[in-house]
Amino acid sequence: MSKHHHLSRRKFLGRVTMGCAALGVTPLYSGITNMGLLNAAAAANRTSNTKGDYKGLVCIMLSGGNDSFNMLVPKGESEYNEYQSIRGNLAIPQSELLSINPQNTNGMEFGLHPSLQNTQQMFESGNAAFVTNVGALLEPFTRSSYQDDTPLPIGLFSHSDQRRHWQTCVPQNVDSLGWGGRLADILYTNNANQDVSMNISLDGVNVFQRGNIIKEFAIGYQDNGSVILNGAEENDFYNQLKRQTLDNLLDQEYHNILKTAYANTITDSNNSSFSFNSAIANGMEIATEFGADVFSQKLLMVAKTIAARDILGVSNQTFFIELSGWDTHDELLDDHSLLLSQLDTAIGSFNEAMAELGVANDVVSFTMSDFGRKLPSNGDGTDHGWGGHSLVFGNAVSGQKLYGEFPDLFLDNDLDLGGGRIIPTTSCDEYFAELALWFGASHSDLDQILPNINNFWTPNADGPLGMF
Amino acid sequence: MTFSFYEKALKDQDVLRNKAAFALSQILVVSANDNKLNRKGLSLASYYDILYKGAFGNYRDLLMDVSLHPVMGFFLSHLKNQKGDPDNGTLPDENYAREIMQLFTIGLFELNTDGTLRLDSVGEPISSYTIEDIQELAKVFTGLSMGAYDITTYPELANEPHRFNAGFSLIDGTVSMAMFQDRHDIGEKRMIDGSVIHANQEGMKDIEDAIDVLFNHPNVGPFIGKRLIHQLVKSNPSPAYVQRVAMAFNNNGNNVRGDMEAVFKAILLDPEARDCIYLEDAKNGKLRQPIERFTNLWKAFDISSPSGKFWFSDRQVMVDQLEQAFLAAPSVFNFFSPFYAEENYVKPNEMVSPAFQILHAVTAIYYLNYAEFSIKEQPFPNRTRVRNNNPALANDNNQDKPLLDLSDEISVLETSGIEALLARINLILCQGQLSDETTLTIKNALTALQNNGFGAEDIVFNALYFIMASPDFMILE
Repeated sequence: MSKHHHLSRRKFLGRVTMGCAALGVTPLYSGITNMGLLNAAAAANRTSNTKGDYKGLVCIMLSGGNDSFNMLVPKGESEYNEYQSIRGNLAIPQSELLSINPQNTNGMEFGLHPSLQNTQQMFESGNAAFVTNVGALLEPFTRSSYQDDTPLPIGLFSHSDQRRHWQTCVPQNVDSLGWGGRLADILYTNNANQDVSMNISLDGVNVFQRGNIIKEFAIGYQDNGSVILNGAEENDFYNQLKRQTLDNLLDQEYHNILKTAYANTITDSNNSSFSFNSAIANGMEIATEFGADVFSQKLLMVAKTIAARDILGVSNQTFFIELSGWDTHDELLDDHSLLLSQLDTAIGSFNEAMAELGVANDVVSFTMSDFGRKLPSNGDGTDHGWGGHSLVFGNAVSGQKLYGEFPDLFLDNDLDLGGGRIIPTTSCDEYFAELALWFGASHSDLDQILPNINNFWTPNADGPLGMF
Repeated sequence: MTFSFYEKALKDQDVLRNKAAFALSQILVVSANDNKLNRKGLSLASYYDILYKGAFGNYRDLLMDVSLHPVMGFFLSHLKNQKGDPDNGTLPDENYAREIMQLFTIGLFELNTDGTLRLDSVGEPISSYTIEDIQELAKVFTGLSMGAYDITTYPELANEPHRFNAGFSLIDGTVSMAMFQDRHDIGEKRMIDGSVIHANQEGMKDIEDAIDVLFNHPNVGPFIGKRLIHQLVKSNPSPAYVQRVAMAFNNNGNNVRGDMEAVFKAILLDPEARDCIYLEDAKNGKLRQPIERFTNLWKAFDISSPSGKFWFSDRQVMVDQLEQAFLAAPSVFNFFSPFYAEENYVKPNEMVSPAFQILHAVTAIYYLNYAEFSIKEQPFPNRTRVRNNNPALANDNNQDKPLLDLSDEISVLETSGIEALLARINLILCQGQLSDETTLTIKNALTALQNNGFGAEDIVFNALYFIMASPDFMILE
């Protein structure tokens, strides 16, 4: 504690220093006082990233538990009948499914929810794929594992726990860091500039991006993303006095730990926000049109951030963005359609924007969700399950494929834990190892990023799923 | 809905009841973030009334009342939840069964009376319930649906028969849900304590019986007690403090369990909540929540408007920029988790800091700006803004404009100077907890302003702004 404390209080006025905002150590623009004065100097001193091998990883959290058994549906006669029989009144009519032609399913036919037109197009053009029946696991699990001592994820079927497991990939613990954070802990030194964390969150505090060294930096979706202090760029008497006074208040030594934490959070937030705000203000405009809804606007802000990557001086970034409302215990058909449509429209724009920015090969987006849902209807919706399907897209993905096994969809099948809760056959670890390796982690880093990976995969050249 | 919250919070003399109800609203959570509920203002208000009126009643009554309220029924989908249908392969909805256990009563793990985890023989926490327990309890919460039609909006429905499948928009969201016995699962149900609810009972009797079982679980006292301490007093209570509160829950002294008056007394009159010695404890205190920061300011300086209305319409701004607005949590898991720990200082000290989960780069800086704007410009977002474009309502605009009354502070400043001003604000806004160092820093700033020709009102505005930004204000001890 004392180490952070003293470092974060030190002033580095006007010095160009390799700092680390993410650590709570923010030397370049220390304190609130000299923001305006340093702005020009900082821009002049910053070296832009010349490596040019940018990689962005966009995590889309579908909070609530996406009923992905209605997102990706088997279309062949016998498999569809099986689906229709278990889903009953919740089945999507066969004729409404959007056809896709996966290249690796031995002729098994599939269709997408009718709301997913952009997704269909991305999939068919080889730039999107699904990971099927994936979920949080500690080790491979079968129906008989339930009877023996095979450990289960903590709080199976509970929203808060399962959503956290996807983000940590350590489902045996409740207080682990996120795998995106651990990934950043290893790769953040790729970034020439550390004023702003490489882990950018459009949805506030999250576990996914929280590492030992690097944690998430939260931005909003309006204006230039970051909120900056009123008058931060003004150097009149009052605003200088105001900033100096805030600095003095925040720089005091506090005996109370919560006060220290508060002061540190404000100082860090202010420093990073100021850098970020000016980078976006000076970044490229995005011509691609995005919807007016909040989720679309958040993805637009991700695009703007990527557009400002050279000004920010970064070559690796992760993004966290949330779309809520997927807990469809009732009104599943209507609500799910709306949500999928919102998702599909926004990622369609985002995909186009990535092409516009010339980074279509350098940005991969992927979904996670609390859990898949139970197969049978509860009358008007579905309840919490376990395994489900995830979507991955971006030109780097070896697309038009389904990765993992596609489960049987009848009650009491070999993967049914009871009541139509499907045991995942692919672990989050395998899915995320693919993303981490693509993003720049080495095979030997994986143990640190995904501590359970060896329970599922013995390292080989292809990666656990062969997705890239 | 937000209107009535601020009306009550700002005008009501019963400050304690408001605080208690607001705290309960963050445990027994419903949210207007769901658009369909946002349009049901009266229904939400009626839900909040349960918490407001029942705050010092019995927790069992609160549990029963919230379980049967149509807003909760809609929010956690046990409204119109029906028994399983083997022919169609449908099963009862498990949502409410899960959350009433996980969040409203007993939590995921068995607890000691002092709120610490009970451990098994190999040192692992013990789950309080299983998936089968949830499935059994889900059967109990079947058969509930509309209690009455909304005949104010739909007078033509006055004589219509009540229907299990009536649309939510048609029903009166202030009338408790009713049991439709033919949609209720009348089979036997096994409860978490091993007891059995016998087959063929009336559905309402099933619910009463199941709530008795949950209410009597030994976890409830420490579980609810600790969450209320988080809300009202501090983030890191000692186990002994939690135990004292849990014991008050278990028995109010007259062999009554769940007496919330006794629980709130135990929380607020405890030495750990009152004795100054705890100010020495580096782990003391809690972060003031966004809503609290502003209501504290308004209450301290007698906010008023000519029309008497406080129809603040800032809900979306509060949600987007501060991540907290009244009855607008992102989900039943509230605005923040009771287990959240800030990484750099709090977690290494094995503490928690729940409200820090909504303090980050966006909300932290936005708060400073919003506080400044509110104090100096005083444009609290009253209905005024909504009506700006309507000339017919122009008079109302001015009538609704709320102002803080800072006349006493200005007069103290003019007669007795900056130190006296700060001493006064320290007393009425900060419970006397501004440190000498904080006071000196602010005094120096205000003196500099004074020396540069800033007027008395500006000095008072800036005094409030710097105080509201200071760690001594933000961490309530």
